[in-house]
Amino acid sequence: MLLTLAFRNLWRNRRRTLLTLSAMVVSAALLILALGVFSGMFKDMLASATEQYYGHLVIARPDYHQRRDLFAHLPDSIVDRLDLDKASEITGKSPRLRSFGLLSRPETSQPVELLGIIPDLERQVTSLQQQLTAGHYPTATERNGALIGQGLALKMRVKPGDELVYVTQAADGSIGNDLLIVSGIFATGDSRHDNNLVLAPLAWLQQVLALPGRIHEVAMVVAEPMNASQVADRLTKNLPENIEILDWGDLLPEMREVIAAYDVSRMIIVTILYLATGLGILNTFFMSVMERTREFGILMAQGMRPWTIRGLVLLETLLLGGIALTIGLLCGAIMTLYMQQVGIDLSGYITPVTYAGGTILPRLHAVFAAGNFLVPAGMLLLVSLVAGFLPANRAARLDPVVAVRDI
Amino acid sequence: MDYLHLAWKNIWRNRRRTIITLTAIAFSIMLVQALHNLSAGVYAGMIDSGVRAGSGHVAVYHKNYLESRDESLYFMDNNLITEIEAIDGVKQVLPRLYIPGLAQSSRESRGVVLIGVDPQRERQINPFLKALPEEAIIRSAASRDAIVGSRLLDELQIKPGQKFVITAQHQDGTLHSELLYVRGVVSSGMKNIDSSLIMIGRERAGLLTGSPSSVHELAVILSDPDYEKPVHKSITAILGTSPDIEVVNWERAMPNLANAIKLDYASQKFIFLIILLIVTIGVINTLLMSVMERMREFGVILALGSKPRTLRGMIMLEALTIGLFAAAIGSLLGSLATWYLVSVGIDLATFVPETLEFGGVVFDPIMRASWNPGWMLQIAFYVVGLTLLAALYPAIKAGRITPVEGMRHH
Repeated sequence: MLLTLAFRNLWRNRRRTLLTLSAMVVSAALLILALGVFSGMFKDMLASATEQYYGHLVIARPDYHQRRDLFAHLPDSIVDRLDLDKASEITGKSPRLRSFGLLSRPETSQPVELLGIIPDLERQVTSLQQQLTAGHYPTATERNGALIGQGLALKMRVKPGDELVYVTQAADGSIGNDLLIVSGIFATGDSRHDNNLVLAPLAWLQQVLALPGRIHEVAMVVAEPMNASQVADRLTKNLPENIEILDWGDLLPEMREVIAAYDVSRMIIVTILYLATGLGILNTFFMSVMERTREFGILMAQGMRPWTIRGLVLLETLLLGGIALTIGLLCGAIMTLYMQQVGIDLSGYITPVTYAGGTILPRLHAVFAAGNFLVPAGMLLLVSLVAGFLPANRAARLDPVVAVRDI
Repeated sequence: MDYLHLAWKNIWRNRRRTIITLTAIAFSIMLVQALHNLSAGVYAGMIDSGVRAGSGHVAVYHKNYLESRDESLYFMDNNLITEIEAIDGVKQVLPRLYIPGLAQSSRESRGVVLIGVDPQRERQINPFLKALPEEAIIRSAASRDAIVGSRLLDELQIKPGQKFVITAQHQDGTLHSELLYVRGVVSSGMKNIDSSLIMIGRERAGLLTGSPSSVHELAVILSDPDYEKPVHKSITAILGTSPDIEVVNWERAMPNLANAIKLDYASQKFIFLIILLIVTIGVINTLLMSVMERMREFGVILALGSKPRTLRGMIMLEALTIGLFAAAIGSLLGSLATWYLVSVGIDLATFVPETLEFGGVVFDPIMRASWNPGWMLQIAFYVVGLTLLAALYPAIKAGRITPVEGMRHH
């Protein structure tokens, strides 16, 4: 009964209710869209560091990540011994040997980080094969085919098929150098990878470094990056002494903190926006209560309790919040879906931006995350209730004798 | 004057409604002004530390060097430094040479980009060197002293005072090596700086490539960022005779930083837009309600001979009064908030990582605002404009009332 009454009351001044409703819908829908785009940026940022380089989980000697010690190596049989496939969340694993050196041509030499990889395994972990601008991803049959970044290729003035000399210090103290042939060129948009990273066959690098049968790390990816630390905890138990597993949060502590701090900043944005919306709701319901002073007086004179009056007004605001929420969530979801499917390309206006160890790509692209809907939804209902509280109190405190005289 | 008086009286007929509406407008003005000033202050800080470690407010390069970072695109300083330093507003000119090479200790090797600097000049400006004691600074431009990033030092497994070898390509195409000693250690907090930085004297760096007095970059630091345009012009005039050398501003030399700021500000503007949209809808609502309540009154006024135009004008005048009043209160609150943010600031140390990198610079967790009175005034007027825009529909509505209809309304 009260619900029907509340609903009818809402539509007694249609124009006013619709305007208030539209302000609520606009704030909720645009907020959901903005949060979806922010989440998209974070996802790009995380992907740039993990799917283009680290992977989500890395197995290595303790401290290897800190010092990149050439001698902190593992036997390459570790990949099979670990029996990783039991952990079904893991969708790819790639053994890698890492080396730092100079890539040389007669005109120029450039410092590089070179990863020795097995192409078929590495492509399960990193997505560089999707970002080729020339040539092809190295194949298992190429003895010394290399994949290099676009920035590096530009500086060295090389194209697929060209030869390069790689110079570095080998494990036996000698200066190792050997020939590489450019197979392909990738462009991630992240200058730190594009100017510096080279992938070459694992067996070739093992020979150059005089480290046959050794690797430095096994990089892995999991289906859901946010669960990486749980998977790491499970795997730790099966690992031999002197080998540790790190998740992306350990590798990129700044990024983990930035992503965690997003919950706080989302709350701040939502609160600020809804304060403005809340004042609109407050105004509407004060007007609506003041107009009905006489009516409330009559209801009370006939025996309606003050708390029922209070409940009625609160029910009206809550109902309005509920309607706004339904439409707002729907509009927000449609806009987020559009930004997820189509997005906006900004590469004509800005270049990629580095943030907390990752890279934000020059595009607006949304992702769906439950929190981006739940927080604005919950807060909207809360704001409706809080904004309805003062008018409801005012209505409940009316003196029937005075109120019925109001015209 | 009579109309203004009437409008003022009219808006206070429903005090509570007007106060709530005024609060909403003033609150949003305050918010937008304070947030903008805060961002502007943070951006200015980022730019300042960015240009000191990087390209300077304006920088001089060989043409195409920026795009290719090709080390063969150097130029000779030929008194350029002294000439640029003489320009009004220039605080310091930092000559730098960038040489890709291989750093080797007895155990490890790392690819690095060697930076050849003028140690005394660099020390006064570069934030990476400011914290270092005098005995950690490179003694002369020709010495074998090197300042090395902390992480790189750890990776090479050497300690301050110990030696390492740097190998780079000479102009003639052969690889040359130089022995260097670690003198100072830089710990900037940015992983890619700490794991790759090696700074040496520019003459020693020049010896590696075979041209001791060459430079790749002249980073020009200004005493005030506002001098950017005139200094840019003066340097262009000095360079007039050497067509291969160009002057660029920091936005072009450091696109990462410039775009980080652009991106951050764009997302903030979107939030501003939503706030102003919501407030505008609120104002429409309030004014429309006040028009609907006064139908009867308007009918009487029209019957007495007023023109619909006069009614429309009065509604617009009421909106203008509300807008101006809210703009004044909002700007006052915005100024108070800015004053607080300028003198005290916000300490985000508990929310963000200590060494958060954004756009290539370390983000200072203590955010401080800066004053931008022109912009504050602009946003205040913008909101007054929005209030007038919001009044259009209610005003037109009031103008369409016929006397008979209006007077029947109760």
